[in-house]
Amino acid sequence: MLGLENFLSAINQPKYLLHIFDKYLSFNKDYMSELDLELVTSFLDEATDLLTEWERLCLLLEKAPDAQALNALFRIAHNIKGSSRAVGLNEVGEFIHLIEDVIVSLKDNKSEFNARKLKMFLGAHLILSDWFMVLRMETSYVHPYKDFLKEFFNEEKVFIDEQAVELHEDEKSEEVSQKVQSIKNVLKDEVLRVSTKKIDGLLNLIGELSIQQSILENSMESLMGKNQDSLVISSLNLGRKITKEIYSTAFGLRMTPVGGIYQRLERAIKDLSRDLGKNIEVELNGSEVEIDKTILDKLIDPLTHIVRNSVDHGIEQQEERKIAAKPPAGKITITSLKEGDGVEIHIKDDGKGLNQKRILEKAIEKGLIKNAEGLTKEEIFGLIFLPGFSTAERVTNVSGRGVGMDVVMKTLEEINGKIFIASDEGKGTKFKIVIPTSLSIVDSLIVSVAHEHYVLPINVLQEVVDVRLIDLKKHDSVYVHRGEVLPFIHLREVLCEEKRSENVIIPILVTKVHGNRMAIGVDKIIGQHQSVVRTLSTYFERSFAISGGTILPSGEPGLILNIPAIVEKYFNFLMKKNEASA
Amino acid sequence: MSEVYEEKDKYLVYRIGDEFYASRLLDFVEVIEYTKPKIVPNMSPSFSGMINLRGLIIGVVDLRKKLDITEDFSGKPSMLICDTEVGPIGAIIDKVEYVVPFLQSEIQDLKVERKMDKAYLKGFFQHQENLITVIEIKSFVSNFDENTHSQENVA
Repeated sequence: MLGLENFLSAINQPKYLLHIFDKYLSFNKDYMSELDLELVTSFLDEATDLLTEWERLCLLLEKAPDAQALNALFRIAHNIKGSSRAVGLNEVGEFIHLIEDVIVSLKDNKSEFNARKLKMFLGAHLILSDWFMVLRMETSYVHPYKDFLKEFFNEEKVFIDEQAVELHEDEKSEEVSQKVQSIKNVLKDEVLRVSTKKIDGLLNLIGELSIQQSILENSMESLMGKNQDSLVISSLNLGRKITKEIYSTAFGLRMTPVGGIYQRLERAIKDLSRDLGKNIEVELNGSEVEIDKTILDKLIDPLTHIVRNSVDHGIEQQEERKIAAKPPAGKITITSLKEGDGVEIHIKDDGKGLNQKRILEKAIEKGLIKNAEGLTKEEIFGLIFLPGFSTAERVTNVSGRGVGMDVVMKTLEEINGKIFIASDEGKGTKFKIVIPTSLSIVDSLIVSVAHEHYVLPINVLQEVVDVRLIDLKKHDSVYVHRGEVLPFIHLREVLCEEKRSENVIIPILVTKVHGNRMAIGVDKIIGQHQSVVRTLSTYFERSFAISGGTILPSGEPGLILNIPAIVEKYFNFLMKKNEASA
Repeated sequence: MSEVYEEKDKYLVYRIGDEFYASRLLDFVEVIEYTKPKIVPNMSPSFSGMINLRGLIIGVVDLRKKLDITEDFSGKPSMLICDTEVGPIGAIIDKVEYVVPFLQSEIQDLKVERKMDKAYLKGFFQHQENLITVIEIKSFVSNFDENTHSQENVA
C-alpha cells in the first residue's frame, strides 16, 4: 500500500511542479510572457535525462577514450543546445555551445583527449544539473559558470575571446550550492517521467480492482442481509474509498493542461501572420484546463489547422480592416473551458466571417449538394467539413499543408469531439470544439429496460422526470414537458420488441442531441456509475443503439447506449408520426 | 498409421444435439464453462448476447440456433472461445468430446444432406462409429448476415 502511494506521488510530480510554478507566477507575471513554463518544464525533464546519459558517457571516456562515446557526447550537447534555445533559455545554449566546441575539436582530432577535458565535461555536468534545478523555480536564472570555464581555458592555454567569458555579477559558488539546496528542499523528490503505457497498465489493473470491489460489495449485501458484521462492512467501505482514491489519482496522471499546446498555436498564428503581412494579436484563456494526454495530442493538428484558417481566410488585410472600421490589428482568442464532463475550446477571430453564398456556390459546384433549399445557417457552415470541399488553401497551400477541414472533422470524431461554427459576416467566426476530458471513463446512469441493465452517458441527458403512464397514453408518441412537445419513445421499443412497461409510473429522460430535444422512457433508474469504457469488437456495431461496453458493478457486462444515434433514428420519424395523427 | 500429424491437423470434436462436429483446434482459444449471456439488442437471432471474460466483453453465438438443431440437450452446455478476424467470439455447443488428428486429405466430400451453408462446411470424416461434420468455425461464427441457415445451398 505504502509502496503504491509513494509510486503515485512520485509520478504525480510534474503536476506538483506546475503548481509551484503557478504560485510563483502569481508574483512574477513577467516571466510568463518570455518563457513558456510548460515547455521549459518539459525541456528540463528531457535535458535532465540527457545529463544522466552525459555522466555515463564521461565515465566511459574515463576508462578508455573512444570515438563512439565522444560522438554520443556531442549529440547530447547539440541536442541540449538546440532545445534550450528553442524554449528561450539562451544562456544555457551559450554555455553548452562552448562545451560543444571543445568536443568538436576533439572529434576533429584538433586537440587531444586528456584528464583535464574529462574534468571539464564532468564539471559541465555538475553546472548544468544545478542550473536545471534552479530553473525549475526561477526561469530567468543564469548560472555563474564563467569562473569554471576561465579556469579550464587557462589551464588549456587556449586563446579564447575574453569577452565571451567575462563575468556577469559575480556569484560565489557557495551561493549557487545554497540556492540549489534550498530548491532541492522544496522539490524534495526528483521528477519521474513515466511512459503512458505504464500508466495505462496501472489504470487497467485499478479498473479490474474496482470491479472486483463492486462484486464483493454486491455479494456481501445479498450474503449477509440485515445481519451485517460492522467490522467487515466498515473495512469494505474503507476499501472502496481507497480504491476510488487510487483510481482518480492514477487517472489524473494522464491529464495534461491544454496550455501545453497554446504555445504551438500562438506560434502557428504568429508565423503565418508574419508571412501574410497581417498584424494579429493572440489572446489565450483557460490554459489550466486539463484533458487526457492522448486527446490533447490528437487536438494539435485540427486546432492548428483552424487557427491557420482564421489567419489566412478570417482576418483581413490591414487596408480592408481600415475600411470596415476595425482596429488595425486582428485578434484571435483561444479559450478553454470545463463544461459538464467535457472540455470546450473556442477559437474566435474578428475577421470577415464566413461567406454563406460562396460556401453554397462552392458546394454546388463540387456537387456536394444540389441546391441550397431548406439549409439552415449552421448546416451551410457545416458544408466546409465535407470531404471534397476545398477552399483557397489548395492554391495558397497555407491553411493546412493541403489538408482540408474534413480531416479536422475526422480527427475530432475519432476522439468523440464535435465542432460548431458561429459566424457573422463582417464580424468574425467562432469555432466551438467540444471534447470529452477522457475517452476511457464516462459518468453514466444505469437504467433497467425489460429486466436488462443499460448504461446511458449522463452528458446527453438534461433532466429526469417521473411520469404516470396514463398521462403518456393521451398522446401516442409525444410527451408534453412543461408545455414543450417532445417526441417520446420508450427504450423497450428501441431495444426489444416488447410493449411498453407495465409500471404505473416510469422515469422519462429528457435528452438533447444536436439541438433536438427528445424524451426517452425507461422502466427504472438503477443508479449512477462511473463506467470504464471497454472497446467492443466490431461486430457489435451491427446494433446501432450501442456505442460501447462496460463492466457493471455486478461484474456483468453492460452496454453503453448510443443516445445520439437513437435520437437521430427516431426524432424525425416520431415528429412526422405526431403530425400525421394530429 | 504412417501419417505425421502436426498441430494444425488436430481437430476438436464437439456435440450439438445428436450430431458430431469438428473444427480445427488452433481456431479455439479456450473452452469455458457456460455462463448465461447478457442480451444485446438488434442482433441476429443466433447471437445470444455477451459475456464478461476476465474484463473482456465478447459476443456469444448459439451454434444450436445457427445450425437449426432442435433436439434437446439435458446437460450443461459449454462455450468455445474462437479467435476470429473480428475479435473473439464465444460459441455455445452441447458438449466437448475429444481431440483427434487427421489430415486434410482424409476429409471426405460426402453427399450427405446437411442443412448448412457450403462455405463453412469442409466435409466429413468417420471416426469410431460417428460421422463427424467438419466446420470452418472462425468464419462460421463471425458471419452474422444469415439469420438462419440457407436451405437453398443444401446439396
